[in-house]
Amino acid sequence: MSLTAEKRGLKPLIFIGVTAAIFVAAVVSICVGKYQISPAEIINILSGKADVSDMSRKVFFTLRLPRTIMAVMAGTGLGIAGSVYQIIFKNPLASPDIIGVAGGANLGAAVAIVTISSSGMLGIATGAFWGGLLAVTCVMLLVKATGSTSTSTFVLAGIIINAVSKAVIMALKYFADPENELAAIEYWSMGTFGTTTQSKLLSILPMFLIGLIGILLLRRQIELMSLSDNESRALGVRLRPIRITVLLLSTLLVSSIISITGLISFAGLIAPHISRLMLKRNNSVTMVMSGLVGSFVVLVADIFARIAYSSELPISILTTVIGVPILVYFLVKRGKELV
Amino acid sequence: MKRFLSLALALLMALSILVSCAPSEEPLTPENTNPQTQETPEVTDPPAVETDAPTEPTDAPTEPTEPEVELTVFPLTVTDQIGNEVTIEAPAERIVSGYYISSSTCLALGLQDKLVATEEKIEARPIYGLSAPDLIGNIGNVGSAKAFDLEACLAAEPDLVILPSRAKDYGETLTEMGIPTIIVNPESHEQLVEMVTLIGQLTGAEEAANKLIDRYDEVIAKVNDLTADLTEDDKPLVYMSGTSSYLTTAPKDMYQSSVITSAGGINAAQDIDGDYWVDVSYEQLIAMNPDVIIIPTNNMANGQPDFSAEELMADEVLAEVAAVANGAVYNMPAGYEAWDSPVPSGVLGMLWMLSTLHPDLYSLDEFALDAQDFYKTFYGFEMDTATILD
Amino acid sequence: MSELFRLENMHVAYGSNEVVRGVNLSLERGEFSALLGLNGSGKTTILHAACGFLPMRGTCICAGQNCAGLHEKKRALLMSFIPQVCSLEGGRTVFEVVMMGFNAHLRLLESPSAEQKELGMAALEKLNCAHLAHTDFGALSQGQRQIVILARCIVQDAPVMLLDEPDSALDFLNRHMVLGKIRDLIKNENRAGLITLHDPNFAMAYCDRLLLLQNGIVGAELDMRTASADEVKQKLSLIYGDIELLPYQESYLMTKAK
Repeated sequence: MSLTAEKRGLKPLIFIGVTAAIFVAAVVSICVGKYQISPAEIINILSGKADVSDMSRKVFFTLRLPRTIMAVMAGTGLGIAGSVYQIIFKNPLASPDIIGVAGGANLGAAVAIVTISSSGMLGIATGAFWGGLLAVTCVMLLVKATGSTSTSTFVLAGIIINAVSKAVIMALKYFADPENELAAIEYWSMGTFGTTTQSKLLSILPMFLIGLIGILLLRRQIELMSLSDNESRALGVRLRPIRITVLLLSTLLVSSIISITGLISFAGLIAPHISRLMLKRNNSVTMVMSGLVGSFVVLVADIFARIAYSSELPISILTTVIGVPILVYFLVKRGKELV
Repeated sequence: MKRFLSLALALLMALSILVSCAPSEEPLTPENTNPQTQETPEVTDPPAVETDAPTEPTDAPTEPTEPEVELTVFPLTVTDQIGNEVTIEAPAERIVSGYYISSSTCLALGLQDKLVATEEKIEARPIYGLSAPDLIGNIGNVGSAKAFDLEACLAAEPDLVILPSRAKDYGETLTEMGIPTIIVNPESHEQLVEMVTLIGQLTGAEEAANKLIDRYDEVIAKVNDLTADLTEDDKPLVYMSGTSSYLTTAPKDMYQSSVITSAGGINAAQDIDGDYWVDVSYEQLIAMNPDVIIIPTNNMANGQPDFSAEELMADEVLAEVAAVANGAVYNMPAGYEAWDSPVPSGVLGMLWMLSTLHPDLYSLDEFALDAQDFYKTFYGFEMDTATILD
Repeated sequence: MSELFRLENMHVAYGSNEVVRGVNLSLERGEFSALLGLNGSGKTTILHAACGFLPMRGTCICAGQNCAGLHEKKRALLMSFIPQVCSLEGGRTVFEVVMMGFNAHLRLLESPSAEQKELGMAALEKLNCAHLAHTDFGALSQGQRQIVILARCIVQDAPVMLLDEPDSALDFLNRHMVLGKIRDLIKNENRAGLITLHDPNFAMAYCDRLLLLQNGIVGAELDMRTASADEVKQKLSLIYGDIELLPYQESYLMTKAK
């Protein structure tokens, strides 16, 4: 008896629908911005025609297109990472912050802002990236020191490292100069795509792809890790090395994104939920869908971040504002079905 | 499932290839043209050397505190205030200024017609309404330094962009895209003068720039003259309060402190280190026992800070402080610019402070007239002296 | 070789509290053995330690291999473990759950092949639940779930099956059904099975040997195929105290003496 894709929860129609939505949002995204580029001009640019102003071409390739691609990447990465964390920690409230990535990145950025007196984006991005990795490494070391490998140990270690990060950030904020540095720290923690350029995107692309493709390749193992520790071990999952590898890969994924954009809240938390509610399944297909949902939410959020107000709003506000109604819709729909 | 995945991955790869195949910007290389005349424009270190006010720069053996440039020769290469070399082909005609101090400088140099976009919220800064009301609502808005709107800047099609140092990353991107961008950092009077010179050169408004700088020198010379005979005992102890709380003050390395010193006062916080506002306790303030307390305007300069002089004086804890007991608590006049900071009309802060600390040497009436003249000459509006004299 | 599993001098401690104090037991191919004992006697601990979830002292030999130092994947090829309740909640189909059993046979990045998928369906058919293949696992009853886990066990194809009270959460009829299927599986596929049970009646009905756990060691063993009624009563009362033993068909029923 052959099994169609349908049985696996693949539901091609839903996937096509979401992919189409992403495509439409991406098109809108590359058309939106204070620098007017008409759709006709965009087509000309993409097809290599000459009768487009130099500046339009430059804006498109240096700012507009990378920004859109970054939004897609960020949403995909955060959605998939969020899904991974929720599966591994068997906790629907898990988000990329559970083992300290976001807190560590925030700390790294704050350190860069405050200590390097005229640190530019490069310094902040480097600080954020390594801060995230360092925080997760500390968590791993703590877990190793306890000798246990249960997920609750990871969560507790994550709580500790997050608390430490927060305290140090607080201290840095206190000593930071309110006009420049403090504002910069706060603003970084709200996230933005406004600083994305082509060169920044390309610089993080390799790590992003390593994290993403690594996780996708290990999807079967990740699925298995949704079982209890004992059960997954009994099925032959080498828990310790695989869990650490998967966590490091997702840290790489998340760190590479937020080093450029700053913290983007909520996307990694709700995308898996929306995906589960849409597909009514919870397997690796759901994980991929979570990435797609995430990229749609972030794309739309970024569009609104540019048009909602005269100046650009931080992205975290918008991801929450957009994500919540979608989640509510699906919750209500599911509630009605359960009745 | 596998096919879908590989398709998605392939799409992602394709997109990234597309992005990387886009025309890459060549970094702007400063052109070195053959210099025809090597002249170093003069910038004096206030409050030292006096100059007669020439409109041509004269040769003088001064230390170059500003960049070496080729005068009035375009294409022009300058070094901005963080050391970047920037080249501009012709005097700038479309200026984007992302910093309120450089924007005000453009107004003072008569460049309002060339300003195509400025920092946000100019409707809240009085100087625009007074000097260039037509600009409000009619020019581009490039956000604030921390949230600079690159696209809005590009949409204004500038041929010169001026940014503060905290926005220097945006400057790099703009330079990559071929837009001449200078980063300014006016944290002291010297740096303000440097910035004025730079802007003057890049926009062909050197005459106006020199005129402004000469005025600065005149004012500084005048203040030095008037205070030359003051002994230490004559100089009151001045406490410069913060704008959100009077338990904040400016320590000795801040610009505000130098204003106090030039105006013949002594900074009550002179023993406190630091180049940014520090919090003090009631005890410290009482121990300082300043003779005069100055409350500057808020950064927008459109209003008083979060407390009034009356409130400060009504604070029982401070009743014993000399300044409070004698009623010597003064608000800096609002409605123009933040005179306690290195803005283009910052010298007025020095003058006002002098008239407040030493009214016998320089009266408030004299100050009102000088301020009126300054704003008339450089900002083109008639200041209502009643706002100061009340 | 017919001995598939052996524990020698197994010691397991929780902190300073030693629960298993030198257990020796062995399992033969085709044999279904039960581990009986009161609460806290260490039944589950023995199983968990044998599976490698807990550290142990002593020797564990499975299918001729010493289990010490084996990582999870190699172990999973030798022994399979069936818990009381599957930790999986909804979101997967029955078929997906069964296919999980192939993990030990697959390389890290490999996905099940078409043949393996057929084997998965065959396992479900063997247990008469192929019609449930595309149902959500979370929608099944406990009894059905345990059957699916059994199918997963078939697919895992390990010679030794360790079962930890898989019937506890089941109702009376399902208990009999599941235990019956387990026994059939062991017999038909010539595996060795060790099950922990609370109720000795079920043990006597379905198992070939009873291992009676007391004071941290296997105090007595009963081969139900050869033991006399007296022997059965005497050994069971070591653990359960005053009991009555009633013969029933080829086995016995035990009840508390009044």
